[in-house]
Amino acid sequence: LRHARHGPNRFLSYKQIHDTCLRNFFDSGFLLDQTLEWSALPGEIELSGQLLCLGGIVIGVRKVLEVVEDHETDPLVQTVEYAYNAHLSGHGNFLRCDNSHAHPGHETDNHRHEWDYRTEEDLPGSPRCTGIDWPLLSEFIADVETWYWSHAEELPEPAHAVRLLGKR
Amino acid sequence: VRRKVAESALLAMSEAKRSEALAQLVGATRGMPNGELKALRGEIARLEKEHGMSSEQLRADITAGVRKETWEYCQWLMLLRRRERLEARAARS
Repeated sequence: LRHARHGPNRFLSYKQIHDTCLRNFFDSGFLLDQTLEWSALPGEIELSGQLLCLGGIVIGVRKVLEVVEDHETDPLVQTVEYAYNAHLSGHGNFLRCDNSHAHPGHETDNHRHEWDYRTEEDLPGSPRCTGIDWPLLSEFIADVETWYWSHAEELPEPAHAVRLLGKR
Repeated sequence: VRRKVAESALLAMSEAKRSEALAQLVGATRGMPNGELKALRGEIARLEKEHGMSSEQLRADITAGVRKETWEYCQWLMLLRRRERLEARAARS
């Protein structure tokens, strides 16, 4: 069984919660821009794209919502697959949560990678299983923001990161 | 052609237009999987050719921890999961 907070939800409710969470991060100033888009596939809806954050951090997002109960406009959906990846532009990845494959010894496919952004070497204990309590996208962004504030003093000039999204 | 809608476009729409766009998105999930499966298999074949490696080899290497799990590989693995879901859906339809 899936953990209750990752249980099925009406798509429009899901979308509304998603909008509110992202708006809060934009209002706080941590999120600067985004290229997210929603795609329809047979039996599923995918959210994919990038979020540009303070410090030249780019979060890649791919999330698949499976339609578990059809409805004309507002089906019941549930996340079946997700990957959120944070990297520092011009440097490396430093955080990823996904369930795209199994790791030996892990009880579920949900896991969290943490790397040194300068070398992309695994940090001690990475990857670790997150079990059924895997993070929502909003929680992942909050983790990235925490990482940013604990590394802000040492991060390089982020101006080139803005160009990554091709918007400015 | 897969129906897509950008988040930024949705945010710029009136409430009525946004509801219509989301309803069209939901409606497109009722499509048959065959066309999407064909495109997906082509995309996976392209990745295998580009990387000189089969998808099965990638999955085995990542699971065994002998290949670094890049963001590109992670997304490739997601395509394999999607293929499995769509094949199961096609078999049911």
